[in-house]
Amino acid sequence: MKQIVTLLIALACGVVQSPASDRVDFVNDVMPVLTKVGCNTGACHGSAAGRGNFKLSLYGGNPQADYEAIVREISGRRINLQKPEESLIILKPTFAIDHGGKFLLDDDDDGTQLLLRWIQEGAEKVTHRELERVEFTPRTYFIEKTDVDVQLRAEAFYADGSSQDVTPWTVFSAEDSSAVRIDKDSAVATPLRGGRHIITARYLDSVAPIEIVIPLSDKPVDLAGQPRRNFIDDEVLSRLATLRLPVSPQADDSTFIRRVSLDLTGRLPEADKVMAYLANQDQNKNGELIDELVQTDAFNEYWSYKLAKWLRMGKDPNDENGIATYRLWLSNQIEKGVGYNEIARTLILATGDTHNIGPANFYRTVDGPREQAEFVSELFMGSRLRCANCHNHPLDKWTQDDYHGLASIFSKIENAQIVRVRASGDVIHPRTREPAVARIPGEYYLKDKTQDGREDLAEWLTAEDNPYFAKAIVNRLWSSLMGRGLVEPVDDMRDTNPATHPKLLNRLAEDFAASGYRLRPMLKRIATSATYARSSNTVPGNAEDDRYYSHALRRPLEAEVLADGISYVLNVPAQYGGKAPGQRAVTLVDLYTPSRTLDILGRCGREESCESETSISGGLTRNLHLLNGELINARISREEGRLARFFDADTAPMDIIDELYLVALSRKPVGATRRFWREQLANVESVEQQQGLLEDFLWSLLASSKFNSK
Amino acid sequence: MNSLKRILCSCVIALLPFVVAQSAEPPITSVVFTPDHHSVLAGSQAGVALYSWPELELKKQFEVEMLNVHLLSFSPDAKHLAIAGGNPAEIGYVEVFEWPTMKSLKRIGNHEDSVSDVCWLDPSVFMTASLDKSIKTWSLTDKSSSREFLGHSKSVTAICLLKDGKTLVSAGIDQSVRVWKASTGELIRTLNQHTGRINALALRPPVGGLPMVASAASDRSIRFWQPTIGRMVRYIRLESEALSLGWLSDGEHIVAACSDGKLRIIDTVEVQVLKELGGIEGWAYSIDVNPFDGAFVIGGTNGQLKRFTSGGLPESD
Repeated sequence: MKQIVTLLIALACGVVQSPASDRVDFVNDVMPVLTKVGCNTGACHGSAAGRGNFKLSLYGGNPQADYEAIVREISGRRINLQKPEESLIILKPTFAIDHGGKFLLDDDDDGTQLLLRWIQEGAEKVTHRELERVEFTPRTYFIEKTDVDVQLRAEAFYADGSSQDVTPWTVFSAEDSSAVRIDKDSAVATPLRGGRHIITARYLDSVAPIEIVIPLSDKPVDLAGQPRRNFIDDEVLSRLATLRLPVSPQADDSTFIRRVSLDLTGRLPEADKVMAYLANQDQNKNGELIDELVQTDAFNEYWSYKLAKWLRMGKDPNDENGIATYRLWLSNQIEKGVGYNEIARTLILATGDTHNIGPANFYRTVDGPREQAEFVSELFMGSRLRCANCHNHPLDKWTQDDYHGLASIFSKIENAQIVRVRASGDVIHPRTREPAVARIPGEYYLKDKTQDGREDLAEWLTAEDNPYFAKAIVNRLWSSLMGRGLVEPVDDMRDTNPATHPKLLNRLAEDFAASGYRLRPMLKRIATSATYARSSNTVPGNAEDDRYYSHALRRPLEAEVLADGISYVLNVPAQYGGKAPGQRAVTLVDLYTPSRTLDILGRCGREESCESETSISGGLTRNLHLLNGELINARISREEGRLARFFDADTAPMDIIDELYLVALSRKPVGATRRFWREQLANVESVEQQQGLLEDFLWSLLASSKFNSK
Repeated sequence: MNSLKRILCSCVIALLPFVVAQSAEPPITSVVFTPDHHSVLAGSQAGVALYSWPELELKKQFEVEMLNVHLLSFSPDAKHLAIAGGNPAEIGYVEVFEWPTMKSLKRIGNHEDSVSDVCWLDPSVFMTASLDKSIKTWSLTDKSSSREFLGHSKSVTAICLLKDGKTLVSAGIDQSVRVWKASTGELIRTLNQHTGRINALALRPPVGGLPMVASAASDRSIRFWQPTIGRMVRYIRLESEALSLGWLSDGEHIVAACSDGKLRIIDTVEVQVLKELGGIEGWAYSIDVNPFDGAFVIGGTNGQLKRFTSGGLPESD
């Protein structure tokens, strides 16, 4: 009784302070301040090692750890409960004392006052409500012209049913700051140029893209008459109409046969095939050609090579047998048209002697369960889970639990020559310092520690409703044929890196699943679209387009394909490593067979991801080598070569030019080109000079950008 | 009467949502028994307070200049008290008081960040470890530093001097334990086994054999070192990070004050936790062992100060 009276007296005397719900909430009030001003970004205290002995979780992903870092660590030095205004957490961002991050908050800024009030109230980890979700608006916004303000907004919704406008504490950042200006104080975005722009919105660790679309032209484009061969064309044309981008016409027959042959078989079409195709007047000749190409051995060889790259089939220096078995198994899968879901399932569940069981080599690609988790997520989910090793993924949903949980699934795998599942094995979760619990990423934990979690993983991954698997592979296939993924980079699929054509990606994935996850039907679907067959020549208004497929994107030939193409045109075989002369580069079982030529031509390195069509390297070195190196020069005049045979057969010089053009570019020279070479030939007198000129011609043909691209 | 009580109760309950805890007290970051072992000094952002032992009743409070007090340390002759700390990220120093009069004598130190630890070389010379990454030597008679030890790549959090008086051991946020020649500042060796910030060092009482130092780190391990030969003898991983260590006089047991507020008494030979004692709410930053009665005192979050015995239960608040 006495206590109650005392309490009432205390209440009357005003000892009791503000309502509990008025107290500053650490998670929902303090953390957003730190996120808004950038304290917990990767460039500052949110980096893996923190800054100045002060480490925060990236974008506030771990409030408990952040609370301890701010309030508890190093004898609580960052908070002064005796003199709150002297707290380091106030003095640093207001630049009252030296701060590496410089000036971030004014003394009278709302954020400063909020921090101060929180410390005055005891700097406790008070949390009144649990954040359930954040809605960012608008998600997609179409405006007619640039320099129009778009108000961005974020509203937080809590488990207790309440909501709050958290726009002032939300970070909005434009993917391309030269395309969209964002006023940080008012959260107003102003597009500065046409196109589709992405703004990333972040409140605490909730993150989402905001898409703003502005037509690239004032005038609508009429795309009604454009050919539509399947749903791909519907989706692509729809996007182009929104952006008011005119389209290039369909490519000519020569361009098409060369492009589709290189894309589906990695080979230049043979001259007689080209001539027959050019002469064919059938309306459906493209479809027939595609049908024919996907049934060839060359298709099997080339797509084995493509998948081998994606599977990062690198030869262990001491295990040539393993890699040969692996490649052979893969080739068989391609040849038989085995579904990609089955291929994935077999790889994930593989065990046994890697010299006899090809897919078991899947576990010899990388070393260690974490690396295996990264590899699997990038390959089969198109997602960079690796970012969640040290912290929750800053731009995606993946948590450290997801990363280490997936790694835990592979922790029992012993990846010696005999791949087997050990009875035990763990990965240590860096946050808990305890063994991580096996987990299907983003989904659920696997409770039974004795079980081989790979079965669950394979089941989940290849299920028809898996949100990642089909999209990841169709995006890669699309990128292979179109020169750019619908999501780019292809292994970085996430909400904040949305597809240029989200609906198309969904429809392709559905189509892929419906056709049994088989590669051939999907590749045929893409190749038969009018979008694929578009010319790479631009028309007024679409020259700047590099992602909406208003025209075809010219792409450099992969190093192996280029090397094989040069050998084919010259009719002089190349030799790679200790292999027999004449073996085509795309059939090399070991992707890293020693070859200076392939290295210079931009072969994907052992340490690279080799994911993107646009990642073909080489650059200046490749060009210089083509121009001046021995790759072409030393082989042009070889006596067994194509040119020498023409000379031996006394083929007319202009016919030689026609033939070589046909072999290299699938067409004969016309117009100014033809006139030029005719004039050059007319200016030489001796046979030696003529032959020298034809060698020069062949060199210029092979060194041209038209030849080494598609 | 009962109905009045009910009414009052109802009033109180009605008002409860509006009742909030009063502002938290600053954490006690350092505790030390006075040389006579009859009292305890506790340091915090509120200054230094003297408590009776074992009752832990507040007797006196002393104001200090510095914003953060990190350590209290008596000189070997018990005539001086060093209060170490500073203003974070600005200056680190030691305020020296005459004991037991608590007459302020001088302020020593010019570190660029707070002083985290102090060890005495003799009654008039001490060394300071600082969050500015350096270790310095100071004399009571001459306020300037005579020697600086540079090597830690991040803040130094703890130092201790071996009984030979020649070998200094330091540890820090860079996860390293370093062994130095105290007379010259020469780095003898660096011990890198910890995988987290090191919070504390504690020198084992002399029990024969090579000297042994225990280190506690945020990797939740306590490691036992023979610094003169650079050997890590043993280690134990706890359920919670140890923030402060105190050896019992037998030299076989160590008590760790941990970030879950608990105390753990550890058999350092078998490297196992013998007892886990419920401690305080929050972090237990500092511990000191009373060699007379074998009890210990801990200080931590929200100004909490508690007495424990190795027997187990807390005896008073």
